Amino acid sequence: MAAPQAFIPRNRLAAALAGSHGDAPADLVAEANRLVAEKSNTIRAFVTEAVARIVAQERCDDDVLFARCDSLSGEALDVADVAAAAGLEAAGEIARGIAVAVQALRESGAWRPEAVRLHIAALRAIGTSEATSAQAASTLLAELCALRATFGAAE
Amino acid sequence: MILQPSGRLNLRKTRILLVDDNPHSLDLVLQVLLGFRVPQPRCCASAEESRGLLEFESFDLILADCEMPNEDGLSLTRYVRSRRDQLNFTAPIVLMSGSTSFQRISAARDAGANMVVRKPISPGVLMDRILWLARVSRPFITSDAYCGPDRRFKSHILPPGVEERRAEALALTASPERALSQTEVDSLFG
Repeated sequence: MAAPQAFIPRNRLAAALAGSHGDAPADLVAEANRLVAEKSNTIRAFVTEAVARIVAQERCDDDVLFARCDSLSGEALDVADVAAAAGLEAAGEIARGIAVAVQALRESGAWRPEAVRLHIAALRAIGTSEATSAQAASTLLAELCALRATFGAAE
Repeated sequence: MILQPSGRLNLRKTRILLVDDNPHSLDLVLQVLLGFRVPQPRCCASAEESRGLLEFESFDLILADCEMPNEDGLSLTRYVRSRRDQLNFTAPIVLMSGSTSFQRISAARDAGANMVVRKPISPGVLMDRILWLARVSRPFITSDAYCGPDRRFKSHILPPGVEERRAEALALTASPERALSQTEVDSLFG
C-alpha cells in the first residue's frame, strides 16, 4: 500500500489572471448572458416540445408508464437542464421533480404511478408559459417536494 | 467575485473540455464559454467520446455533466483521477448537475471533482468558479483510496470566536435528501 501524498499541482488556470491583456469579469459575464439570451427562443421551442411529450404520458396505463419511466426521466432531466435559461424556471423544477421521483420510486421498489402522474399533471398545468404567478408556482413546487419526501426522494 | 473589481481575466488561451449528452445544455454552456472569450472549447456528447481527447490533449478545465446515460460525470471524474501518468490527472474538474442533494455532492467530491455547479449554468456562477480555481491552489491528494483535490476543510487554528465551518457543513447532513443551494454546495468543497 503506497503512502498518501499531498502536493500542490500547477494551477492550470492561474495564467488567465496574469497580465493586463484581458477583460473585466463583469464584461465577460455580460457578453455570456447576451449569447445565452440569443438562444432563448431555441430553448423555449425545445422545452415546449419535450413537455408535450412528457404530458402525453399522463394517460398511459400504470404498466406502460413504468415501462417508459427511463425515457420519461431522461426527457424530464433534459428539460430541467435548460428550462430556466429560457425563463421557464417552474417547468424546469417540475421536470427535475419528475426525474427525482422516478429514480426514487425505482430504487425503493414500490412503484407509485399516481405520484408520477401528479407531477406530470402539474407540468401540464404550469405549461411553458411565463404567465404563471410566482406564488402559485412556489406553492405547487413545495407541495410536489413534500410528496417526494414521503417516499424518501433525494433532491 | 473573488477577483478584485479592477482585475482582468484572459481566457483566450484556456483549453476547456465540455462534456454533456444534452445538446441544448451543451450549447448553452458553450455560449457561456464563448462569451468568456474561450477560443475553442472542445465539446463531447458522452464520457466515452471525451476519453479519446483526454488521452492526448491537456486541458486547463474540464466541465462535465453529472447525469449522462451509460457513463456519467462521476465515472468520468474517477477515470481521470485514476490515471496518474496522464496529462489531465490533476486538471480541475467542475461537475454540472441538476440534482444537488447532499449525497450527490458528496459523491462528486469523493470522485475527485473540484466543484459542482447547479444546472442550468449561470454565467455569473461559472465565472466565480473559474476565478476561484484560478486564484486558489488546493493541495492534491494521491492515495490508494482517493486521488483528487484535498477534501479536508481548512486546517488552520480558528481565531477565538470563529465558528468551525465543518459544523455548518455537518448540519447539512441532517436532511440529506433536500436540494442544496449553490452556497451550501460550495461549502462542501472547503
